[in-house]
Amino acid sequence: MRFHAEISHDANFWNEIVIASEHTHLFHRWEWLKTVENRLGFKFHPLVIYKGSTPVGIYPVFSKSKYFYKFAFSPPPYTGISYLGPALVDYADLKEDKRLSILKGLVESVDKFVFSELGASYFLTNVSPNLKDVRPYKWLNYDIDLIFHYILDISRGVENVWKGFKKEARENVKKAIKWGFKFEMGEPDDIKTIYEMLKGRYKEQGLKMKINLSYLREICDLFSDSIKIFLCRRDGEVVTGIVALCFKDRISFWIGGAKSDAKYANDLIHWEAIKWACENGFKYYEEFGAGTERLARFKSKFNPDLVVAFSVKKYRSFHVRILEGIYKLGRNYLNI
Amino acid sequence: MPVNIRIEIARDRNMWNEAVQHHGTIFHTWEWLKCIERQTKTKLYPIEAYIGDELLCVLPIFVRKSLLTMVFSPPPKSLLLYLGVVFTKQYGNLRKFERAFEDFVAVLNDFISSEFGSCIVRIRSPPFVHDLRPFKWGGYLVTPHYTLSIDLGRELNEIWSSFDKKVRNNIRKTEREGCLVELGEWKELDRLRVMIAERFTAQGMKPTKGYYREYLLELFREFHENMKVFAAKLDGEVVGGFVGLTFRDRFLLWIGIPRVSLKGMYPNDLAIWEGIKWAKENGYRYFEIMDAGDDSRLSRYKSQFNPKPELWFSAIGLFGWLRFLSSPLKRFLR
Repeated sequence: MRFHAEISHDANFWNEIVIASEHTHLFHRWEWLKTVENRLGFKFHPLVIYKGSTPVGIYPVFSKSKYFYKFAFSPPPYTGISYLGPALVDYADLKEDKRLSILKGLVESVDKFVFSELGASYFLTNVSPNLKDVRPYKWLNYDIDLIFHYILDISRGVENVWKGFKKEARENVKKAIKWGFKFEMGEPDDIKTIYEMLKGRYKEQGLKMKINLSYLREICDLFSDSIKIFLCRRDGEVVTGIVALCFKDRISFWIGGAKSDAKYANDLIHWEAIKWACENGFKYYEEFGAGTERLARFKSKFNPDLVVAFSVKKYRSFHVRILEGIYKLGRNYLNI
Repeated sequence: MPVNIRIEIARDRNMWNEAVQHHGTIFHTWEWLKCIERQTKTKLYPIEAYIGDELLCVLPIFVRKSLLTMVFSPPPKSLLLYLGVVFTKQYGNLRKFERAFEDFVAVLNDFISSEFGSCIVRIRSPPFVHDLRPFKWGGYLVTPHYTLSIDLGRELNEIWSSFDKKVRNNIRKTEREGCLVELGEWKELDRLRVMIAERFTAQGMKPTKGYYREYLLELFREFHENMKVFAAKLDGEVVGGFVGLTFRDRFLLWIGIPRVSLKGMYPNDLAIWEGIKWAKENGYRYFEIMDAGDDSRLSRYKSQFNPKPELWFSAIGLFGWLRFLSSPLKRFLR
């Protein structure tokens, strides 16, 4: 049976698939994706993939034209979306040959949409960590890179999680409490404080904060039930804060936790966020990005498991690959 | 700067085999490595990494020096997909493992630079090594591959019913046609070897002269206990099958299953099923259909047996002046 991708305009149907699929996060929600389109100037292509007349999955694709080229992304850059990509339904229950056949059909139909219908020159997808099989991308000559995340099983209970921490992390938390750091839940408005702290930290490192505050504010307002803000104060002043996303049985540390003079405050805030998540019935504490050496070391203090995920990309031609190289050079070394 | 790890070249075969016994593969055994060295005309460096007196890990590398020095684990033309690093113990704690592995890669890079200068390095790790970040951080390009593994911890009936309907029918039909699967010896292995070479010729490729005859014969003699030849026969003639390897709790479908054109008969499907039954009866936990996941047609054929894709990784590093060629060359070589 043939596979084909169709643009969907049905937000309810889309969100039903987001709930049913094991490859989704809050990022896949229709409202989040529409906010990216409305706020950040990317064109959203909400693709539903059908096998015959049966929907087998969704694939949110964004595009943007620049100069003579059209670029396609899932997710687009500077949106704070850690991963997006394909989300399949009833995938885990299938036998391997069916799984492979559906995944292959889905990836091929989206590849056809992006390069033939959309006419894109470049397509990048950061795939969900729950989708481990990227063979269909390999067969279509995508470049495949590895992304790492951490996941901490907190279903064992607060005490066991605490015991699993590296001794140094436990000591740091105790010191933070002793030094008078106080933890509290924040309000959506506190995103501004966390944002400013991150911006300051980026500046110290000679980097620009490219994510937009008004976009973050809108996301926090839109998902006020699912987004939790944790703050740490000393003498009434906020010294650090993190924003976490709640989705199904997971709570994911999203943004914040900028390095500051308030030593040990970040250890305390992670511990308090983990405690809150345990008390509120979550099973997993997810930390995006374990592939950066320095950050990986900080995050591994909490004794998480490593999760491997994939970033896949394809260029229409060799000169687009060179253009990407020049762009990266500018971004990383010239800070433009 | 990691100072606490030192690299030594192993001399003691027994100590090496002891080190790879619990977490390695059959390909890591000293005897297999020596066969590879002779077959591929490379030089084997059996690397041992120590923290103090404690053996941390081993890594067999094979070096070919010509115009360009190449460092491999495993080398091409060894009929192996993966080899790579074997840690001597299981780390219960991720951060300790991270630290040890990262330090090892840093020391390994120093060793490679000082011993071989400018060279290309390709290390392909076995399926149970997932944290390849130290290679990434050490400047390697890491890409995923997929092998396929069937969990034999289930009832045989359950395994059978998990196969695709088509493959179940193929097996029944082939049995009805009088095809039998037997555990063969060198004669059958040699016939399978010739069939694989013929299949390559039919596909327009040029198999090497003698197509691994000496290598396979040497391995067959050395690993007679571990090598199981599942030969599918019709009227006494080998018409399909494969060579399996046993090591620890895994049964590996290593080489074989050459495409066969016999109307209404599927000797390879039957041989795989008989291999699965044998592996289960003999107490193996996993039946691995060795694969890289690079060929869509082969992956789809193998997926009919409902295996689970298991990740393994290839790391490509460039040293010396070759670093300047970095990205495009690494992608080409992966």
